[in-house]
Amino acid sequence: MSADILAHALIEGPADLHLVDAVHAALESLWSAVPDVSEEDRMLFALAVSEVATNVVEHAQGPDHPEVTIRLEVDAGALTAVLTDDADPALIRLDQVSMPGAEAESGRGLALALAALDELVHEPGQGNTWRLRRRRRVD
Amino acid sequence: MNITLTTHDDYAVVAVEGRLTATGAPRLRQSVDDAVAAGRARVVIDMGAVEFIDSSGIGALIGGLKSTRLADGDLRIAAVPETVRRVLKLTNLDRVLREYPNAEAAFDVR
Repeated sequence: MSADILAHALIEGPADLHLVDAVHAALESLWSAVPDVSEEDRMLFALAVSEVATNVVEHAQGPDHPEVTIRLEVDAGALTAVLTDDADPALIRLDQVSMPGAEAESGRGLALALAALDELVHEPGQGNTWRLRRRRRVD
Repeated sequence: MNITLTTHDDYAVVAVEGRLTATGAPRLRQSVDDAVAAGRARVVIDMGAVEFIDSSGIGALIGGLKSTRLADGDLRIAAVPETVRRVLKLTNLDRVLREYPNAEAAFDVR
């Protein structure tokens, strides 16, 4: 954990697409709190978080209603997000993700997240942990 | 996200407002299907008030493109904000979804 956190937000709830809307609202609050984050950093980080959160919610399948926790953080150098759930570990190989062709109606999410981030890590275990990091660019 | 479907003589305009993500994408698909069912297979998506789009929104546009073309029509996008254009480029779809300055221009025959 870096010591110079400028703003953070925590979103918790059942695996449901409304959680993705809550994430976007939380990001808006973070940008208000730290207005010098560039438009490009805001847009690409929001894109990555939206993709991973949607993926987490849509793949969180288990006998109990899985819970998802999302922590968002802004510091002087980077935008980070950590998403955790208590669902079954997802079988995803990030090194095999590629952008699908023009006909596809799905399957672009993680490819977009990889393009928008400097770091994307998936740690399956007792559930799933996703770590997202985008280094802030200078305008 | 808000969606407004307006039918004209031989085309329809679907205006999208707000964030086009997984929660709104099915409604966009439904609006395009409604337009096709109403005999307007030429559909313009007015993106002027779209604040954000992700792959779920992109998927709905591609789905709409397919269903309009199956009905001998087309789906075109208009008033595309920079944030949307960026995602279209990242997904290599900027040449697949044709962009027009505004909804009126999209199916202007002249």
